[in-house]
Amino acid sequence: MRRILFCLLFLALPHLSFSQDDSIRVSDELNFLFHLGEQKQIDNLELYSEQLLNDTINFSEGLRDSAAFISAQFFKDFKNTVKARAYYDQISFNSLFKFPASYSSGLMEMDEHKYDLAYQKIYDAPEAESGILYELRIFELAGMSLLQGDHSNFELVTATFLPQDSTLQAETQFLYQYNQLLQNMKPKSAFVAGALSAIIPGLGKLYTGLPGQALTSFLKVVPLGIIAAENYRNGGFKNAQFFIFGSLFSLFYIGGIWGSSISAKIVYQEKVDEIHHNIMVGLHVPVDRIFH
Amino acid sequence: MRYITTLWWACMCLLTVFSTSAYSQAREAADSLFVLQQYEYASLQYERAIYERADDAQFLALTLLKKTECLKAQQKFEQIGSLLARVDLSTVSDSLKQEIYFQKALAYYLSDKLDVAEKNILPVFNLETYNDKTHLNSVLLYSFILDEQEKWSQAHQVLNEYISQNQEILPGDKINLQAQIDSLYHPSNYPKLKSIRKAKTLSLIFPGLGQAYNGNYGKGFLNFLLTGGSAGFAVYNVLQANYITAATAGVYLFLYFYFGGANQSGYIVPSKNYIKKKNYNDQLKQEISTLFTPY
Repeated sequence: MRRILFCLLFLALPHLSFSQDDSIRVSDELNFLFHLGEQKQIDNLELYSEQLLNDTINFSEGLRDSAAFISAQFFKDFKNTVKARAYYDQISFNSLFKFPASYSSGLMEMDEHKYDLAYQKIYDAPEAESGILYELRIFELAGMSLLQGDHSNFELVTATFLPQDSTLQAETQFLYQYNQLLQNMKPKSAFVAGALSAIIPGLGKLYTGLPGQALTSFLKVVPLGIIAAENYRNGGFKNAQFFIFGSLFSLFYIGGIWGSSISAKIVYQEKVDEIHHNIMVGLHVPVDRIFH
Repeated sequence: MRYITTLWWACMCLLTVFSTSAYSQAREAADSLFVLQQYEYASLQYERAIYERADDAQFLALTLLKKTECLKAQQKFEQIGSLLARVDLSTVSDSLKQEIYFQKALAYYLSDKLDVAEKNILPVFNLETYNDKTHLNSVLLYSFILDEQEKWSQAHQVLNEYISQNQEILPGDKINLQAQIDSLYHPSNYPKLKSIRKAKTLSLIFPGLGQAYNGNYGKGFLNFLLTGGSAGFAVYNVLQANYITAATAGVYLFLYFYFGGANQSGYIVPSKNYIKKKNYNDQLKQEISTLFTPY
């Protein structure tokens, strides 16, 4: 009996020494989550995050918010924006993490050109009454309005906006410039581009600002026209070669006119996209600076 | 006698205590999940065990090897290399090093990263002490890597060296094994791989000949017809006084099919070679594995 008690005492020793309180356990869970992220164990990280987020009995809302935020940050680093966004969106509204989570998630939507959703996420973010977070919110909403093409909302949002933060001041100036640029930019006439290509193949593309494509179009259409003309001259209408090359010429000629008309819109859109890209970069700058 | 019995019980109890603390609960849970084939959860528990005992290099290496088994069962071979790279090899025994190098090489081999696989298998052969079973597996893996790299004569040499140096194989068996290996790796059995350059040159000399050289007679005949047809089209237009048509469309079509056919003959060579090589290497893998099964 003495021997058995002796053994039980030895067996119980390590377990006694491992008794911990809940706060240590909570901290341990989050540290383990960090460990998984730092070791880039993506599958394990996802599995463990799901376990923590679904365990509403053992883990408080605060812990689950922390876990969601940590996981989202790691998935953002791993360039898995879908999962990062899903974790950001799970964070409860009252959490302190909701500020960075809303902006990060909104900017991810913006990067995928889902401007309406991005605007909504930042609009729904917790509001600060003053300070840098208040200025950031106005700035981001103004930028999103530009991306949506809503210039009147941009002017409404920025009507009395005078940021104190130096980065926001500089970036806001850029937004004003982009607003002017976007409002003054007009696409070249699709009708003129098409008409020019009808007169000389490729001229419409040159008019829309695509000299390389203009030359290619010219070199495709004109030789086909000359070949068709030669076959018509030597064999008349019933000549099979005239029919083949004439058809090809017509196809490329009409295609060239159509392509020139479309390219007017495409070139305009490319210029808009370039400005949008610059706006998006500008919207990332203060968020990254403030929250990281 | 009573004192000896008491001392034995005390030692057993101490051993139990230390083994319980050394072998973490997470590791035990992971092992149970592994047995139940719950590889995803087992993998997480192994990571938990590592997290709990981050400063124990030997434990880390052993647990990562178990986690490697989970990843292998999940066919996630590409993750194994970076996983085992977490082991500081200067802190573990030679037999563990051997196992780690072997598992890394195997994972890279299964992910088709042959150069990295070769780099990881070579250090196995420089270790002073090793496990015989893992050593044999490493030799076989190295020979398979060399096979995939088309270095059949080197693979042949590696296997023969292993057989001749191994003390556990009986002399009679050695001769028999070497004879079978020699037969498998006889140069006449090597797949007859075609040359891309030769196929292209042949197609340039005579359209379609490169495809025929590669065994694609239908494609070769079609290429010959198209190139010949386009040349005929150009000549016909010259005769019809359609000089511009002949000089532009005729010449363009001829050059398109002539050089296009030569390029195509080059493209189809690797796919044919791949099939030939795969068939030969699969046969080697199967037969060599069977030959070495008793060892």
